[in-house]
Amino acid sequence: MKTTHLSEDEIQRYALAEHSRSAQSILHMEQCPQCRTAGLDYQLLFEDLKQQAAPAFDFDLADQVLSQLPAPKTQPVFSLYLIFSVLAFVALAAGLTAYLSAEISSLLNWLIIITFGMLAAGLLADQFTSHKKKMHTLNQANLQH
Amino acid sequence: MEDKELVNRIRNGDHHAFTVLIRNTERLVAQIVFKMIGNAEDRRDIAQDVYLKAYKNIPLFKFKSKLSTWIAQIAYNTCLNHLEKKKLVFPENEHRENEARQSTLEDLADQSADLNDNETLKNIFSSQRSELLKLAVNKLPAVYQILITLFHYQELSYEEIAQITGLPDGTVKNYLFRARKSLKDEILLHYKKEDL
Repeated sequence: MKTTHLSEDEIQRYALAEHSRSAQSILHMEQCPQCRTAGLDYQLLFEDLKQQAAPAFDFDLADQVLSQLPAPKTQPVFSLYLIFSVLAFVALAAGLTAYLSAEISSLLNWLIIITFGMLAAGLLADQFTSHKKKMHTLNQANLQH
Repeated sequence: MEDKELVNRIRNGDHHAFTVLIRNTERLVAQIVFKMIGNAEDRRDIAQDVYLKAYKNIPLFKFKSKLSTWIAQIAYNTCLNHLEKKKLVFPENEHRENEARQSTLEDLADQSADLNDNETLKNIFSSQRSELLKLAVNKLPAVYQILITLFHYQELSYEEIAQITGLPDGTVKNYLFRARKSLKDEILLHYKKEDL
């Protein structure tokens, strides 16, 4: 065992439970009331330091900063995939109209086209909204993990 | 969320991810800014500046440190630049800081020579100790205050503190040693004076 008292540095390292403390100093601490008291003082000090009130900004920092950032990149509303789908649909509808106009009376022809067109537009809009909603939910969930 | 994912999202312009980063690190930034900058208006500007710089430079972040350490480093350097630009030093600590640089461990040993061996922090009531500690911390040079806060409050490692402040590891350890000893002695001295 170390017979002289530990240095202040050794006592601090003991109080911090640092790996660098020597076996001799640990043994000394166990048997020397004076050094042990000094070590306990430091441990108490470290505990008190953790309890000290932390300063905080008295304004919403995130809001202030975000208002100064450039606008976020937004995904284009109509992706290439969607544009090609719409074009294909229009071409198909035009072809069907041309075929039907030769075969059926014009009133019935337009009735079929309008009904079909409205149904298709409704389905397409519903799919798009649902896709956007799912992506948003996914992003939120990822950010929270 | 992991640093890598957060950084990638911010790089892709995700403002929500950047808000998460601000919320996660603003306490750490506040600790640094409050210790280094005395003026409330300046603190407000600097805090915003820290994050605007972080947003601008995040494409250059190389993951060599934790994201929070990198932000703290920006905060520390922004404060230093501000002080240099305004030809200021850390608030109310100029002379003490110079003193601290020159003081040696022996000086500190002399300061505490008056202390009675029987005086221990345990004898002081917790509330009184807390008040004395607050006073003692405020008396420390600002750089010591930051080191103490980062190590004992934010629980950062010596290496992380060295990265933030740009000080060598050995200097960080040495300053922390002096600061802790100074705090302990200051509290006991003050308590003894009050007790007389």
